Amino acid sequence: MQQTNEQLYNFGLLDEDAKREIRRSLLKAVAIPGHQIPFASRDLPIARGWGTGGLQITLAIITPEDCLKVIDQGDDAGVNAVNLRRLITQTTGVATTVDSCAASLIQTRHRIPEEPLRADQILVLQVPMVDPLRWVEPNLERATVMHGEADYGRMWVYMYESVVRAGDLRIASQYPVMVNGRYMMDTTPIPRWDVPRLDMAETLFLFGAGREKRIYAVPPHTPVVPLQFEDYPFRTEYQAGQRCVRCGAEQTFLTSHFVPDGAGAGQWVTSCSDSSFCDKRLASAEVQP
Amino acid sequence: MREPGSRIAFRRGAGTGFPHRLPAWSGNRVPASPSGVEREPGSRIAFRRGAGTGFPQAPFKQKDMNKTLLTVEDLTKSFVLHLIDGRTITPVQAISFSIAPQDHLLIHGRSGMGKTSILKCIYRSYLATAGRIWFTSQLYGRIDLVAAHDSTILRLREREIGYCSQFLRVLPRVSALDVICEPLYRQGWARDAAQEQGRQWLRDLGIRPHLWQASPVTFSGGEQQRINLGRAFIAAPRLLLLDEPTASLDGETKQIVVHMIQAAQANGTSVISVSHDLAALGPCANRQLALA
Amino acid sequence: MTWLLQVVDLHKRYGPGCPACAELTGPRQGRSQCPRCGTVHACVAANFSLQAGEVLGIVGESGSGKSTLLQMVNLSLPADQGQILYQPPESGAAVDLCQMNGYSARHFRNDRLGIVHQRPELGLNMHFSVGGNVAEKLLLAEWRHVGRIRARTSELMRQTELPPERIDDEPHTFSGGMLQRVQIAKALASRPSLLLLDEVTSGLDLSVQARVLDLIRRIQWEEQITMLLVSHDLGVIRQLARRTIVMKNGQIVESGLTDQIMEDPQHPYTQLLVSSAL
Repeated sequence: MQQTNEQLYNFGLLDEDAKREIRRSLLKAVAIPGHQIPFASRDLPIARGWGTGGLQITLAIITPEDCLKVIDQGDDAGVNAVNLRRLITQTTGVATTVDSCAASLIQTRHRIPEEPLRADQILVLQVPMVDPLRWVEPNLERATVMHGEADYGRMWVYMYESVVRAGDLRIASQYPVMVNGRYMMDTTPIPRWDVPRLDMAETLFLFGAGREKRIYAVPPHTPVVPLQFEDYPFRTEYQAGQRCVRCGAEQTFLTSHFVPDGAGAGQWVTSCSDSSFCDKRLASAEVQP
Repeated sequence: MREPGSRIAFRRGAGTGFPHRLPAWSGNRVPASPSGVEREPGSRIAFRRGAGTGFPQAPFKQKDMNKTLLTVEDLTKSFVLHLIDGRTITPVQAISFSIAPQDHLLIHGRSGMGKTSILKCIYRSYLATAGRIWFTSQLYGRIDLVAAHDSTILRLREREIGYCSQFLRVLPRVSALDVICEPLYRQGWARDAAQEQGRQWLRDLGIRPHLWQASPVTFSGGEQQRINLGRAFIAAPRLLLLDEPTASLDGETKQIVVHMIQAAQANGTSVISVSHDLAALGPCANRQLALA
Repeated sequence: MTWLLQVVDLHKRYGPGCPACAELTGPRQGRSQCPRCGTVHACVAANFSLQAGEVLGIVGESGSGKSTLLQMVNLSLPADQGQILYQPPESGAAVDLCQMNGYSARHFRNDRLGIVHQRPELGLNMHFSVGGNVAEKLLLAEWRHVGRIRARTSELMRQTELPPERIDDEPHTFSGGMLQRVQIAKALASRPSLLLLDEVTSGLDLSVQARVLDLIRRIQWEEQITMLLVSHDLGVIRQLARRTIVMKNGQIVESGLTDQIMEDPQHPYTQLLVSSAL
């Protein structure tokens, strides 16, 4: 990297002390899977709530050799993804990619890429809400004690009430899971579709919440079990028969959108949420029809 | 999923099939089955099961015959009245007596002579100030009721020592049937078996069936006293303490009570009763103690 | 003799304490706060044991330390000194509950203890349905089948004389007496080996009070559950407890069989208490 006297930022924007503090918290988070570690969330040139937690983790662990991918809702071209990518590349100069397989570090909001991740990759998730217990215990201090004592009865009652009131476990995202049989963790940004992919994964998952100043992690090969009942098991959003209108994939997480036909009507179509995966499938289909 | 731990071991179920105990004086006896008489070996406590099992079948009595069941030595009871001026009154002073199994000791004397206090000291409703009360227990052997631990006394009250107070004191809103069955519930009887037994006793005590579900609080004095006695007799204790058992009873009911006492005695129960009513109880008591 | 719980020399004080405390506080002085250092001695040298299957009453005026004692046994208040020994019915090795960390204490409480508070808001979560509140204990015991949980909850509601068809109603639609029964159902759900009752009938009108007491007594007979019962009401103690402890100014002044405490009280304070009862 070019060294000039006019360089305004340290590598990765954050100063080295801040990075070291975040890396220490990350080490602790990896050592205690699912446990929320507090950290001093720094001010950044973007507002809190726009991915500052994930960004700080990325900036703390990124090296010049890394190849970066940033996605927002599965899409590499989302506004948030573009902004974050630009900030990181301008302050570090690392290479970027949209290919999940080529990236060594992926920062994401709301999705885990469809292609299986490897042990040499790290996935950083931006977390809007940290504590699964906030639904049943708004007082943070008491919730901390509940985590410490593994006192999750009330959360289970919440799940039970969900079944009784709605007839099923009606939790769309932020599905609570038990990590390593000890801590209850919010899988906060990701849809239910991605929850089973945290279980016994090859990859290290790091979760950062900038506004709530918490870091937590799911290390590789860690059991992650969603809260469920024997007669009301956890289910993903998969619906048989639905497929992507672009690439025809069935076994991916699909989002639906309304396509107007110009005459005031229109129809709902579904397409892959992971745009780079969808593009790859399309490209390979064109090569081998 | 963890299955809820069963507490059956603490409770005896309805179907364990020990013979229903009938009032001994009802003349309607069920022959005892040896296995029903005592609990299986290895269970927590072996205790005698029931007087209604019939006199000839109960072998323990032959063995106990020559021993004393209860020996009272120099029993003294005084009360310190802190609320008045700290004065001490001593209604019972150095009383000694002893009784053997199947004895009926009648204690009589003027009011205020401390007759009831003696009974209450034996039952530990009063703490004796001095002296000793030796009781030959089946659970604990020879034991001093003055010094025994509270829990020991509770177990003895459950199994071996019965007390019938002068007035029935029960909870409101509890049916006569439940009141009379209470000692059986405490002994761990299944509800159905206990109630079957309770109904038999109520019938024999001459309580009309339409009253069985009513609270004894609403009964007449005589009926209350019969319930009270029934409650003491149903548990078939080895020692029965009766405080004025024939007070407030008419002549006919007195006879029922006297028969109850005699039948209990015949089944091995020792009785200590306190009464002015020498006419009714005198004939069935084989020993008397006059306080003066 | 099989004891379930033994409380040995248990102390709880609020404040630093001073050498004069022992002399200046206690039932003899009629106060539990030391006038010299301001320390409140809520519980001083409590000793008692609880046999399996028995009901022990703790009676005393407000401020006598009886609720402090109960909370320490419930492990929701750490003791300053002393031991609470628990002997599990299934094995002989006693454990000291005071030595447990928060995690073990929580699990012990879920498994072995049931508590009924004076105010239902303390024992129930008012945002969940009645069924959910009762189910909490089952869920904590790792029941993971909604159908079976609901079946057991309905059974518990029947046992506590609550209409099972109201399983999904919220607690604020229930009357005070019914809420106490919900608390009892919840406490019984895990088949605890010790049930703690804290002034369960205070604040209920007389007929409701009687029904709740009847229920507790019936459950005691049927399930042979060991109970520790705190009340300022001698009538309640007389109805339920067979042994009683009398507390005053943080100390146990007398203990014995309930009828002996009522008929032959030894301590001046107990005599006053008994003679003041209606």
